[in-house]
Amino acid sequence: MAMRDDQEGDVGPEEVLDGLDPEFLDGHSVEELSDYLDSGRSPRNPDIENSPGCLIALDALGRLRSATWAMLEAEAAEDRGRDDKWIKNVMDNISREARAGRDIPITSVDPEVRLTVTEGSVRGLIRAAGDGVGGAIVGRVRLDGDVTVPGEPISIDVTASGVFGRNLLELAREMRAVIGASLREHTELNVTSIDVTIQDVHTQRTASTEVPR
Amino acid sequence: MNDLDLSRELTTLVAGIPGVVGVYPAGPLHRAVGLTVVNVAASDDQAPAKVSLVRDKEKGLRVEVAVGVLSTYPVPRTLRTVGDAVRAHLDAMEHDGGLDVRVTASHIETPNPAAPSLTP
Repeated sequence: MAMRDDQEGDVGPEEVLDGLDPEFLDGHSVEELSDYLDSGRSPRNPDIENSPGCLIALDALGRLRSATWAMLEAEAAEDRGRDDKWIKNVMDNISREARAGRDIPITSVDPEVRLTVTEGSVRGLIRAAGDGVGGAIVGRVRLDGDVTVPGEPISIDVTASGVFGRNLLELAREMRAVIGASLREHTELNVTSIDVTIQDVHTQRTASTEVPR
Repeated sequence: MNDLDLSRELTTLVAGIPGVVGVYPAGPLHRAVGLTVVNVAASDDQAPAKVSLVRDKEKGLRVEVAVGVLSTYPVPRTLRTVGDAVRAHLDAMEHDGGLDVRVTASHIETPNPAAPSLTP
């Protein structure tokens, strides 16, 4: 398990959204997107809704909130420095990973038609698959290898946190399985390995009292 | 038909393909911004023009399409369907020179299930 030694100021999860680079989100900050989610995405903001990067980040923020926000807030109140740092890292990663990145080719039989999927959308897919496993929150997603060349060996590196009481080996195994299945269905990447590192464990007391079953 | 109308036609065509959840402004930023400005100025009953068209006397017509794909539809199959549809639409029209169609999945939308239980 990774150690965390930073102790930041006395701020809650909302405050640590500040300071992310809006360049990754077509000029919008994660804080803006968070507010937009709060408003129920109404009135509709065409600038955000027409930005794939913003949509990828909104997907991740929505999942994070629906499953974990209450838990993280409770933990932040209990040990603020520890969890503010963790939340900020997740938010930073969501913002960074939402950028389009490299073009990943998809086979086309027509020489005049070129098909690609963006690296950002694949990172979002991996994050969604990992978050969908009960008891896991994805921290960071990375694709290692030259994804622009068909057939090149690609390794997937994912970090996550788990809930106390969950068998972590089983959790990592489940995450690898669903991520692998998603990548096989939606890409033609030659995935040679999927490494899942559980870096944090959330406390049993918080999980059992703050998250409704 | 001018290119703005053609872009509108292609945008509507692509948006109607099963598995496509969104069509986004494509191409270099300045072209995408240009299309957005035109859309804002257009009347409400006009379809948006989000497909980028670039004409080059030597290379012919380059078409760029950026789509969002619903994860319940395999991305490769959906992209091929989009590429085929765009190609067929353009083949039915007259155009000089070569054709270069580029279709990109810029967002894969995963239906947000009920929040998974975090407790073991």
